[in-house]
Amino acid sequence: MSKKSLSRRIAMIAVYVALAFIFSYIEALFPFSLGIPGVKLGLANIITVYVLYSTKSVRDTFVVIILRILLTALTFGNLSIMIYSMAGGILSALVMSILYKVNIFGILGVSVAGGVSHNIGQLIVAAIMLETKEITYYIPVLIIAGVIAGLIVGTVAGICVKRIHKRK
Amino acid sequence: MKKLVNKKDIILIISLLIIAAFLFFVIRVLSDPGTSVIVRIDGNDIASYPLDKDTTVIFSNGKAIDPSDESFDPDSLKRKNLSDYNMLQIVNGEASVIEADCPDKICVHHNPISNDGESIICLPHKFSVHIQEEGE
Repeated sequence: MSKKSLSRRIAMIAVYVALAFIFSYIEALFPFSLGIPGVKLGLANIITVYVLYSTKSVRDTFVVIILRILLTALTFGNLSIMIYSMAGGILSALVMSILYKVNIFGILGVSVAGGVSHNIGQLIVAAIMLETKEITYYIPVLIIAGVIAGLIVGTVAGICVKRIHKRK
Repeated sequence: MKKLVNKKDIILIISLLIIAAFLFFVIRVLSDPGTSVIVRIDGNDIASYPLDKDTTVIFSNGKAIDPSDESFDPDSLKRKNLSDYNMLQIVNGEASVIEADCPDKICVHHNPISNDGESIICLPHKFSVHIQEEGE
């Protein structure tokens, strides 16, 4: 259980959500099109991974990611975008939290798994919403995109955890 | 302190890439050039066209627009009167979305499709174009 006071935790969560929100915004400024939907860097997940490893709290990580997705979707998107982001984000947070607790992989492996599961989560929702199974055609591309995104996110988050988070 | 990278991370990454490559080639091998284009809106098959015949169709609010409608005019100003539209074009045996008023235009940037199972999807409009083989 975290020894920090509750108000400190709340304040830190707010800071992380705001940071992640800005990361999302900056990423949205650069149109990134590969001709295939769902391919993006997910820079906001740098914050997600950092929160997981620095607070060591699965609960805080979920709070940050859910709040960030709500904020981003309400500000820049609409209801259907929120559903996709939420599905990807929650699956990603779930997978990363489990892998973190089990402690087989380092930050890089956890981030890669997070990136891939984020894309898979969005793919599943898309298949349900559009009632089409041909979407599974995109699985290979989304896996590779998830790995690349996870590598970037994991590297940056890992550096941040090493340098910023000096406690314990 | 959890480490940044350990050997198992590399194994995971390589495994994922191998799985992706494997699935990619399986799908490639199993896919054949399609013969027809199906347009699906909100889960319902709206229209179908043969892939070998050059066609241009505009879909707006869940329905196809009559080709004689003025919005087909190359002067795209007329298309501002449409809401939630996607313009499908079939040419040279490939299907693509050449114009749409969705916010992200992922469907427009998508590469043209021609193989069985491929699809172009416009999430905001719940609009998708699929290639099928005859007889499915």
